[in-house]
Amino acid sequence: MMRAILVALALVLASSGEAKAQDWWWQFSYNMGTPGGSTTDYISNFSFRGIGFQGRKMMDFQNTWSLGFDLSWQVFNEENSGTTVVDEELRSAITGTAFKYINAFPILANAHYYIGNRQRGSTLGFVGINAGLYYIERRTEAGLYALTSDNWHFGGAPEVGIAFPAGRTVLTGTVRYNLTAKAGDQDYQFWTFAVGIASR
Amino acid sequence: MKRVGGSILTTGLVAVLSSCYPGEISNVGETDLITTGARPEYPFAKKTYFMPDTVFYIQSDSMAPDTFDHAFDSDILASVRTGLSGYGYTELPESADPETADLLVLNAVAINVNVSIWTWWPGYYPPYWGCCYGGYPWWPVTGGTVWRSGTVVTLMKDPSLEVVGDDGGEVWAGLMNGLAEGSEASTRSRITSGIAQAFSQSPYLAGGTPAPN
Repeated sequence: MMRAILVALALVLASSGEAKAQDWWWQFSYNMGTPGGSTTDYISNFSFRGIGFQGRKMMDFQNTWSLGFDLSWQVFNEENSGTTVVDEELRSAITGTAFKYINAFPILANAHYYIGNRQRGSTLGFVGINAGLYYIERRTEAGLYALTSDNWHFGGAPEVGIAFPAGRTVLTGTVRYNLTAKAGDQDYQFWTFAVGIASR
Repeated sequence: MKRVGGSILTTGLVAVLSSCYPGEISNVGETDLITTGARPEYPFAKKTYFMPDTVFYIQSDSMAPDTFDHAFDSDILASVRTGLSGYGYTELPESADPETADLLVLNAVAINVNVSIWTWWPGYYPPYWGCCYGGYPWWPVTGGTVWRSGTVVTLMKDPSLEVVGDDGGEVWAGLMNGLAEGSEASTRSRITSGIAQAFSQSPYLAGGTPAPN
């Protein structure tokens, strides 16, 4: 997987030397998210804290498809109060407030295929696939104590989106489902809803 | 359109960059942890207890105070009495022989003093008054925070059980741990509610669990 990511990034960078500025999309996005799958067992709250930076290189003159990368950050948090039975035999229970956090940093290579009228100035749909690494820190604070685990996960994310060109600026909306492989006995799934502004 | 996009982006940036750990502890009460545990299968069938009117203070580290004002002793003792009477336990009077009680109840408080020290090299922060030749001090600036944490411990011990090694015959323990900061009224309230919670989450103290074979 790592090799595939490096090859994809190398392809993008190698082709950029001959590229015109218009061949690249550079995008900042505001990302929202919600946990999915088993991640909801830990945190289920919607997240309004996320940000992303993307670059895409159009790979043909018809703007049919692109290769690119995505760097982003999403923070999930949840507060739980209550009593938990820790050990049935010892009749042990603990009551307190737990603050739970997931900080996810995807570092992804991606490919997108564009649908619709690809002329500059037209609204465009796209589907894409991301693959790469996710650095994810999981932290639980209870009382004066904190438990933190952080791991690098392989992962990927299919996505769909729409772009509204406005001159040299493009406004985008993207929905992505992130899935990671297990690392440190944890895997993660979460949705990302991004609104972005891109220069093209 | 461009302005709207820019505003969305700015809002997002502000929201994200405000913290990696949003919504952290906002008051000292949120640091409280109440932990309880009991001897496996102990039946809690015997219901008289003797409780010394003294709360023991443990100097748990070298920075902790070696004298205590005992301001909360009566609150601790009263809260434990309330909890036990709620499960039908009867306290023997102070004049009674502790040996005749089914259970001994002991209370203790441990105080820790915690120190955090941080250091930065100036360059991005305003220089101090009187310093320097038009620039920043070349030496690192160090600051620190000191806070106290405390634990109230309530132990129930069955004197009829044989003492074996570290097992002193304890049958129930309640620990209330948190930040020992804040007003006296707030601390009093947290101690009493913490002890009440410790009993509330130990319903087996009412008895009825079968005795071990």
